[in-house]
Formats: sequence, structure tokens, C-alpha cells
Amino acid sequence: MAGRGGARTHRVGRRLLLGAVSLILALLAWQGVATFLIPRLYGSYAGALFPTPGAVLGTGAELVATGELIQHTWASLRRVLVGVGLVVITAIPLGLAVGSSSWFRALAGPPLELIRPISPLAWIPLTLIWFGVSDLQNVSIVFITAFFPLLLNTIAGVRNVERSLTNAALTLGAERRQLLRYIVLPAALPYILTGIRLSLGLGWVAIVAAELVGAVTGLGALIEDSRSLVRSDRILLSMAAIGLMGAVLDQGLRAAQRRLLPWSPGGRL
Amino acid sequence: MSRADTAANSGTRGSGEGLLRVAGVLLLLGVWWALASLVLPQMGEVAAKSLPSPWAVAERLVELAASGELLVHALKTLQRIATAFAIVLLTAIPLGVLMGWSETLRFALDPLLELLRPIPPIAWIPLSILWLGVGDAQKVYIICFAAFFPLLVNTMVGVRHVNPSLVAAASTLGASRGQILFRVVLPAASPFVFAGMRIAFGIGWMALVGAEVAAALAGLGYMIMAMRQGFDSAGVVAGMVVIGVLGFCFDVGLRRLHRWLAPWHLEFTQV
Repeated sequence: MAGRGGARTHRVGRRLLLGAVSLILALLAWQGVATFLIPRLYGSYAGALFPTPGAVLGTGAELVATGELIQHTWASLRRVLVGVGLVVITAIPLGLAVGSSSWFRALAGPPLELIRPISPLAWIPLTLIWFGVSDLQNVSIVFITAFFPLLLNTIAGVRNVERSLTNAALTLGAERRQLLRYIVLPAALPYILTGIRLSLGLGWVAIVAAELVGAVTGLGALIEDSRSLVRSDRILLSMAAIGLMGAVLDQGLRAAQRRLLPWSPGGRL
Repeated sequence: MSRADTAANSGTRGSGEGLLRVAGVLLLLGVWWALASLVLPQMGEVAAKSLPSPWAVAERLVELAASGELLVHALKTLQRIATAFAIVLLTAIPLGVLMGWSETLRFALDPLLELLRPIPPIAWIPLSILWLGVGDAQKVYIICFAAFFPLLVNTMVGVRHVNPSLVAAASTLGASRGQILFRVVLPAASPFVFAGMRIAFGIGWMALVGAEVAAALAGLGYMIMAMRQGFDSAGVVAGMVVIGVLGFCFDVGLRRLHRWLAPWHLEFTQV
């Protein structure tokens, strides 16, 4: 046993060591390319096109100090939360209806399947015609992007409810409403929560795309602004903020899922 | 709607369900037509122009196809996705196999990939424009970035999920490392690789549309963005329809290919 434990610690140690070495090498390579290679190729534009790691950190400190970063992050986050919130109150009821009623599924399925393949970002020009450059346009792109993952997961959740559970409830005299409230909804909940997590993740991607074209605030707008100023340090910093925020949202929802539904494997997927 | 459903519907509760399906599509078209032709024109000229009727879209689609404009942009988009997909297949699959096969490589590259992976491909658009301009190279870069990680991770997971007793059996029978890789590991991992290809294509397609909408000089995304500037909403919707149809065809095609190449792995084709 002691031998096995030793081998295990050894493996963890090797993993940490290899990971740290490769991260340090990558940082050194970045620094090297930025200080030696790029200036030789692009002369005085080098700093604007390809910053050093230090420059990005410095810009980060500056943007945090002025409050700009927090302000833009909050603008994006607010739009995503509103968009996904609208999805939650529309897609879940629709999914429950489509999943539990066969005639409604036959009626609503084909129109939904016709709309679904349209790439959500292809809606950007049309929503710009409808809503102009506004919060509403950004939120509508989040809504369109986040709608189908939650809808499909809710339908899958309802359709995967164990037959014996619904039969047992029906035998005991449950009405349709009770069936939905006490059997179908709890059984479908793990799927629904996974759907919300997927929707939030995709919504976070969509908001960046929407803000690149049609916004003056938000992280997407911050990147696009920095591009027109040719400030690659600010671009990279905003990208890092987008990645970090996305990871935080995802991990937060996973933790919530584990907490609320310890029996569901979804939190670990 | 799964395959089993459709089969059951056409059999037992045949025509009633079929009628409802047709009714659903007619309802969608009807609401759309009523909004475009009856409701919005009452609300002023701008509102009337903001949503074209289904017929206006169909007319515009025929017009765009006949003038050749649609073909030019569609070919540009297809050429970009084909180039990028070739690059991703040739890099992500070998690297995924190596990372699944060698623990050292996996331990070394994992933290780097985990740092890059949460950054959405769309967020690379502005930086890639600074580096590469708004032409084909930048679009290919964005698709590659989007499609690379799903395929890499799926390939790696597939290689790691190969039943070790299969590998042990092959080496007991005297197979070389190369034989084990090509005759045992790769076939066993292929369902994961195909599933990864479908996910990679879906994400790559979305990223390409985003990149073309954000900044381009050609391509379907550019076409609809340019039409938006001219307030040509019928053209915009016609372009959206083409983008949807192309994406749908590719997904079905990849699913077919998967079923044809790995028919023993049916549960994956249902996902």
C-alpha cells in the first residue's frame, strides 16, 4: 500500500513539475518573440501589434484601477443574465409542453427544427435592422443562441423520465398537474440544469460577437475599441477577462449543480 | 425528434401526426406572413421594411442565385471552412493521439491548453485582424481556433478509453507499437474522433459566420452584413436561409459519414 501511495504522489509531482515547466517555457517564448523577433519584423509597430507579458499585466492593473474593466465586464454580464433569464422562462415551459404532449410535439417540432439550423450569429444583421445598436439587440442575440440548448435539454429530460414512475403515479390517481409537478419536473431537473449551463456558456460567447459589431460598452466593445486604437495589450487583457469570466460562470454553475442535485452526474460532466 | 419516434409516428398514429406537422410549418409561415404583410405596414414605413414576407425572401433568393452573387459568396465561405478543416484534421488528430498515448506529453501540454481553451474563438477576431487583416488567412485562423480544441479533446479521450486488454492482447500476439496504434487504438478511438469532428464543425461554422459578420470583404456573413447596410431585409433573410441550409447539410453529411465508417458505434450517431 505504501508503495502504491508513493507511486501516486510521484505521479502528481511529475504532473505539477511538467505543467510548471511548460508554462514557464511558454511565457519565456512569448517574451522572447515579443522582444527579439517582432521588433525585427515590424520595427516601431512591434509593441502595438504584439505586447510582452509585462505590458499586458501593466495594462491590466491600469484598467482595473480606472474601473473600466469592471464596468465593461458588468455590462456584458448583465446582458447575458437578462438574455439567459428570458430563455429560462420561455424554453423550460415550451420544453415541458413539447416533451410531455405528443400532439404539441408534432405541431411545434417542425417549425422549431426549421429555425434551429440558422447559425445564431447570422441573426446579427437582422437584429441590427430591428433594434439598432442597443442593449436590446445584444440581448436578442444571447436569447437566440441560448434558447435551443435549454429547450432540447428540457425535452430530453422530460422524455427520459422513467415510465414506471409516471405509471405508478397515475395508478395512485395523480392528475396531470400533479404528475408534472411531483414526477416529471424533479426527474428532468438534472437535464434542465445542464441545459442552463450550456446556454450560459454559449450566451457568453454570443455576447462577445454581438458587442464586437453593435455596442459601445461591454468586453466585446472594449476589444473592438482597442483594435481601432491598435492596442494589442488591451485586446489580450480583455480576451483574458472574457476567458476568466466564462470559466467562473461555468464552474459556479457546476458547483450549484453538485450542491442542488448531488445524485446527478451532470455536475461532473 | 429521434428516428424511433418518426418511425412510430408514421406507423401507429400516421396521418393525424402528419397533418399536425404540416399545420405547424403552415402556422409559422402564416404568422410570419401576417406580421410582414398586415401588422408591420400599419406601423410605418421603417417597420414595414424591417421584416420581408416569405414571398419577398423567396424572390430575392432566386434573384441572388440567378445573378451569381450568392454563389460567389457561398464559394468563398466554403473554401475557408474547407481549408481550415483540413488544417485542423491534420493537426488536432495527431496531437490528440500523441497526448492520449503519452502521459508526459499530456501532463506538459494540459495546463497550456486549459489556459487557452476558455477564451471563445470569437474573442480572437480583433487580434487576428491586427495580425492578418480581414482576408482569408484571418478567417481560417478563427475557424482553426474554434474547431481545434473539441477535436483534440475528443481524440485524446477516445485514445485513453481504448480497452487496455485489447492493447495487451495485441502485444502478446507480437504486434509492434505501430501496429497497435493503427490496427487497435485508432479504430477503437474513431467513434470519439467522428463525434469530435461533428462538434468541431458546428463550432467552426458558428465562428466563421461570426468572423464574416464582424469584418470581411466576401463570404455569406459579409453578404448579409452588407445588405443590412442597404436596408435590404429580404436579402438578409435569404442569406440566413442559405447559411442555415448549408450548416444543416454538413451536419447530416458528417452524421452519415460517421454511420458509414463506424457502423458498430450506433449509439454515437444518435447524439
